[in-house]
Amino acid sequence: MHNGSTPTPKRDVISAAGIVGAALLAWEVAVRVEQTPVYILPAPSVVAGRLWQNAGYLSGAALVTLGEALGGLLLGLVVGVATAALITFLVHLERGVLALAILVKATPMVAIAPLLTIWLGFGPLPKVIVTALLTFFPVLINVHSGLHAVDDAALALFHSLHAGRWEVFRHARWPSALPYLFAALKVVAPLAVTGAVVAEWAGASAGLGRAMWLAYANLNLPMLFAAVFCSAVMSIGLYVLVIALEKRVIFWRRNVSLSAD
Amino acid sequence: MNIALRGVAKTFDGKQAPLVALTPFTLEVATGEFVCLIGPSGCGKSTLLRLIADQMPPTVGDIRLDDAPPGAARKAKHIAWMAQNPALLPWQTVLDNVRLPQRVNTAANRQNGRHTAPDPADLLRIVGLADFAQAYPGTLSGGMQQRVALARALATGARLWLMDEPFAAMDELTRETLADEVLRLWQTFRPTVLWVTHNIVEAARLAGRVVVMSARPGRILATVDIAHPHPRDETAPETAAIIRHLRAVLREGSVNGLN
Repeated sequence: MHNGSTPTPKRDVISAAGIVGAALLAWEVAVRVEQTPVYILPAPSVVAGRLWQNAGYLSGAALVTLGEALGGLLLGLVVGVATAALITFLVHLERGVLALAILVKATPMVAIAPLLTIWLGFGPLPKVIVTALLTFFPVLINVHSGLHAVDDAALALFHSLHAGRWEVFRHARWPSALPYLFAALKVVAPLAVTGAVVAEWAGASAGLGRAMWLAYANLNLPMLFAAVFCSAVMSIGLYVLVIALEKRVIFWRRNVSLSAD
Repeated sequence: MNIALRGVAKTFDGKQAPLVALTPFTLEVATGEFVCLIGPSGCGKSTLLRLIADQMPPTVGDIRLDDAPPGAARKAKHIAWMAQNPALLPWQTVLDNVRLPQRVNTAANRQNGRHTAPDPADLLRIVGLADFAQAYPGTLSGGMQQRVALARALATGARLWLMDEPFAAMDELTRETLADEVLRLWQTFRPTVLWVTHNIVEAARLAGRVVVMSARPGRILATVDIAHPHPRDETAPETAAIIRHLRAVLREGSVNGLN
């Protein structure tokens, strides 16, 4: 933060674009030189062409997946935060609830996703649940840590005023948990898209995962890659959104770094 | 608010053996007195303050604040607590931080009536931070943050100020300025002040009475009354004599402690 080599946002974007561009170029050249068949590895230009021709189909599928990812993200977020708050107020529940959460975390999603499809059908609900399960655990663990990261000196102050537990939560614990919550969201938000796609592979009537599965079944690799590209763009978009939101919500961190400059 | 400690002792459960922090301790402080507790680190002066603040119970003995247990004073927000760490909430403005004591435990507000708690905006003016009411604590210097903490302590309207080395982390000059400010506020509001410090000069400049404590286990080595008026210049002969005396008592205590 103090050295002058911190890249400006603009320079950051240019260098990132440069690296991605170079990688794509190398891929294009390699495929053309080696004359790799398109059913093994399509060149980026071919993928881009397929993307363009099927823009309507793919964006429709992407919207379905995005809806599932956001729904699951929201559900996992609400349940994770509520659970963390609950075990902060009812401390004797902490061990039991965390053990249960680890059990959920330890179950592979690849096994759960088909089960949910059998139970709940081909609609969006199983995908929302898979994404929520992915979101829930990091949110719970991080928010729980954040709620307990309050300074002892601040707790002594609240104690000296005989403040209630809810008052301590509102004024001290919840704001101090927010940076922890965003740390979890930065991991989970891009993962949510992947979660929804994986759940769609287990059986779906719509969505990017279904588009991928169909393309794979027909060895239509350009389409498969185009769908992967769409899901990657959405992951990156969600990540950028979380960062932008974090800057707005956790404004006091900026103040701290300003005074340190 | 007057303080009466009778035979108060505190023993902590150590890893191997119990740790005696305070041996039976008896002290009376009259309403409106300014008392400094001074002693080497680990002499239990902070422990004593925490006991009075109802942050933990004494192992034996009896603590009375206006003839009631300390818990009653705390529940009624009659205690202003201030420590070395300003513990401001970085997500609230300076003014909201100062208003905090009035916003929580509102049941006590109703009991105390309206007149007791001073206006937070006035308090910010008193500590010289009126222009920073809408600033966030992260943008302030350490000395200014401690001043906000001071205004926040005053916002309780409490008649007992418990101050645990409040300015120990500040540089010499800031510490003196802030201590003079507290002195001025004490002269205005006339609360009972119990001030923990390990700074001999600070104690001699501020206190009406200095309680000198020995190293662990903590006990009273001497109490020294200081009668001459504020402001006191530490180079003035009578203050210099007090400083010399306090130093001698502390040195004697540490020598006896070694034997």
